[in-house]
Amino acid sequence: MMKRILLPLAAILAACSGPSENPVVEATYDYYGDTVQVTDTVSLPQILAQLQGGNDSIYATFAAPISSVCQVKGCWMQLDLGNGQEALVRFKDYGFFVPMDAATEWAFIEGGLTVDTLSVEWLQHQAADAGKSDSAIAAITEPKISFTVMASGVALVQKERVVSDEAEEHDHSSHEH
Amino acid sequence: MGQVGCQEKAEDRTPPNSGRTGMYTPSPLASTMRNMADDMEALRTKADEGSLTVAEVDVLIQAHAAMKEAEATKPDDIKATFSGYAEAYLLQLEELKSALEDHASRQERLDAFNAALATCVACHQEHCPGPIARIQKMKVQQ
Repeated sequence: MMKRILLPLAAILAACSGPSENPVVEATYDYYGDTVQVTDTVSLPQILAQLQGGNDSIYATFAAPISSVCQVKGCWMQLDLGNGQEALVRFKDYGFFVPMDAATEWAFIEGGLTVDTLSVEWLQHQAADAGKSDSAIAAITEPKISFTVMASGVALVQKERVVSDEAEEHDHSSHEH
Repeated sequence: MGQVGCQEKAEDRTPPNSGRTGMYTPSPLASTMRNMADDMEALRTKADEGSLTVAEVDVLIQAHAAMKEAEATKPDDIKATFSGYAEAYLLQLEELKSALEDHASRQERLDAFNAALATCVACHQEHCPGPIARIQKMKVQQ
């Protein structure tokens, strides 16, 4: 049964805290499928802990880096969950796709997460979509247990605008006048 | 049933693109199949209610026959079985049309409707499993 978790966590910064130290950044987003509320995300470790703690599935909005995207249509993507774990993301009702060059970007995703068994047929199809060789595809002979996501919406950062100290100072001075 | 074969529908479903270069442009076959899915979802309710007409199925057959010739995203990946599935799908629609013409039972009409969808699922299992979940939802529970 799908469980909806509504935790008011402003986790964007926590989720996106990568190796780079960003200055003040304003971001706008490209939305695919439903519009994702990027300011209302749940931390990924919290979700994974709940799944590993016995929840069958969790409906949430979260952020994670994209490790690969279907190179035929953009009809699935893999997320890097850390610790060598990945999640396969597919899109509700095959109703939208994501850009095929989105690998390495951070994605904000709303959808249902679960642990699923991916069939050999699916894994071979996925490998073909990823441009793997025939021999690599033929070598896939076992199903795989994986985190999976059925996403109702995805948001990707459209552009970043760095707000410099100089600009902020200018804004302050204009307020004084 | 003015929606059948309407090309605008595929474009309406295209995700927003703010200048990104990696967005997929649907092939003619992909666009045709998206329209087919929209059509079958629209007709599902009518099939369930028993209000589906012969004329509506006839329009569907004419419009959906386009998939036999439409170019795929990766033509080399289209298997020899594709044309057989396409013909089987269209034949099932003919069966549905006959069931309506013969005033067959609800059971027989829904069997024909669901059988058409079953050919879609079988073909997608061989070619592209992505849309299967959506297609399965179109079947009318009896």
